[in-house]
Amino acid sequence: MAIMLAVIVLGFLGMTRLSTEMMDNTGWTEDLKNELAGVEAELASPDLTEEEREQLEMEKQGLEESIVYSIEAGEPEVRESVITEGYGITALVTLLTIIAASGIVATEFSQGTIKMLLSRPVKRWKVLASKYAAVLLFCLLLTTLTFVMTVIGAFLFFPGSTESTFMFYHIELTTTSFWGMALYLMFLAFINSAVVATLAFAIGTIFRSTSLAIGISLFLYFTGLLVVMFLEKYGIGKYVLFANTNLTNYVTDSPLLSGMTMPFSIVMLVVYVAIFLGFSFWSFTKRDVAA
Amino acid sequence: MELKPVVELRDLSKTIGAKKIIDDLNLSLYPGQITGFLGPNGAGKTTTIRMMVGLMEPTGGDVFIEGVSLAENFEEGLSKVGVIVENPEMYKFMSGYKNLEHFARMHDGVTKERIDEVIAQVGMQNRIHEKVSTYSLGMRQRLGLAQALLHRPKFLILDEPTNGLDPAGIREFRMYLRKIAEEDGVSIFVSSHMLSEIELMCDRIAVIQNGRLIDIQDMSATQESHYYIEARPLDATETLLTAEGFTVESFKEGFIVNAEKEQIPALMQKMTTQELQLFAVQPHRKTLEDQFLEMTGGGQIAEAHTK
Ligand SMILES: Nc1ncnc2c1ncn2[C@@H]1O[C@H](COP(=O)(O)OP(=O)(O)O)[C@@H](O)[C@H]1O
Ligand SMILES: [Mg+2]
Repeated sequence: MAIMLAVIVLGFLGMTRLSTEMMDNTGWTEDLKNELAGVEAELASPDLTEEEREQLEMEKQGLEESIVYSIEAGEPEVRESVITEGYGITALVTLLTIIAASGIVATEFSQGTIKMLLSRPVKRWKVLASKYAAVLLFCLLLTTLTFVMTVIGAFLFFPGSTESTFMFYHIELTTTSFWGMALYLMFLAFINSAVVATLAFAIGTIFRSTSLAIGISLFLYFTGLLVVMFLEKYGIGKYVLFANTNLTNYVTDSPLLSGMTMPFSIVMLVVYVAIFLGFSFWSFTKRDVAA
Repeated sequence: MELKPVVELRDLSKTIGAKKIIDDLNLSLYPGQITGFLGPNGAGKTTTIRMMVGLMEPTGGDVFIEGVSLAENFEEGLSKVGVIVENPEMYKFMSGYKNLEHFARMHDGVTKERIDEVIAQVGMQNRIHEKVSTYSLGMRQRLGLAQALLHRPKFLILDEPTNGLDPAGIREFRMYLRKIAEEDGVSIFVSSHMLSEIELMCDRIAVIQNGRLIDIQDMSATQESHYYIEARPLDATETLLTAEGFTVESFKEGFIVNAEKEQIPALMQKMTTQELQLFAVQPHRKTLEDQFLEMTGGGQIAEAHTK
């Protein structure tokens, strides 16, 4: 599963790179290339002052970058922007974690192994706590893997940017802060996956059925925003779980609904997770095991 | 019994909905003894066992393991118990060894050496590293026994353990249980709906029916002496036997009488002088099955056999 994820992330980045390259075929870039050739020829001449040389070098670099990050492609894809936008791919992590979280308790019931597990000198809440910890670890592992693969892919397929690229395209990135920003966004994406996984975990634990848990969780995951929009008519959309799961909105975009803030969403997520876990633990520790 | 019981069930009850599935069960189990738990299907054996290992919460009463109440101190109480509830379900995608390692982690102080020792005890050395999905039912039962013995329990509970074993397997299993009961002083509680199986392996048998314990029998207790007598004509035979003061009971082609060995020659003489045609006189050991049928009124056991 982890290998699959790694391959998908790399493949996705490769495809992105290919598609931007295909958009590069314009007469406009040809002109730039000719200009570049001229500058290079000038640079080759032996009698240049230090100042002139520097001037030409700058010009050459600017032209090269203009060619690489073709204006027609719109937003230029450079290594740094690919890395900071890597959190977008974590929807895959969420899907995989939903599947794992749905089954981690429910399959013990469907296979009958639950009775082997619970007829041991270990209190039930401890068993469930370790199951939940395993889900979070799994989620963290996949998120980390996605991040690592994104970085590898970004270095493989995309050129690094320089100061002039930043200036030219007004990219608000500086080399010092972007790693921090990328990690922060990844962490927010991890929270998103972990909260949705907690929902799947709770459904799996309460209904003791893997397929039901996967089905309900995926359904809610995909229709969540529709529900938010629908309930927003009555002004209560922001209380829906899925209005709050995507914390990256607050950093890169505008809030999903006006008036929503990051602290509000965090409080909502904490409340939801507490409710999910409350029901899970109650169901797991109090109900008889007849499987 | 002077020994201190390892396990005590006190007023154990379970009501689900309006149905009283287990009704006020009281039972003590002793070290080194194999106690059978006999009852037709649906009598409540599995439910009782589930309550003894924390899978189900009793609605009344409690289970004490070496004096420790499960309700109050579950972890300490259960650390002395090994159990197989119904069929042992293992993680099929893992090897037998990995399964044992996994379960061993849930007990204190089970070493690698102990795992290997148990594997050898149940004779699984050759296949232990293969996936459980490739095992036969008999091998799964062995693996089930292995996981129940990992932590050297003082009390072993087996729920219908001979399901799916062939006669040779059952025999081997029986010897093995006897060995751990005698050598390690383990108290063993074996449930079954098949009398023939457990009467051979148990020291005591507790009989349960409709959630109630109806009898506890010591197998070592001396049995009343019975003889089977087959003679013609039937009515004259019966008259004579009753006149002699025996309790008579029709059985097959003749009668069962509770007579002592010493009374038999005189009785034979009387029968020949009355010119009864004598076909057979033989000692008859009333099997537990007969007793069981008597106790449960016969109807219930039929259900057990058809299942
Ligand atoms: N979860 C349950 N809900 C309702 N009835 C149950 C439940 N579990 C068992 N029973 C009933 O309790 C009785 C005893 O079942 P069980 O303990 O499995 O019997 P045994 O193991 O002796 O065959 C049966 O009549 C069964 O239908
Ligand atoms: Mg049963």
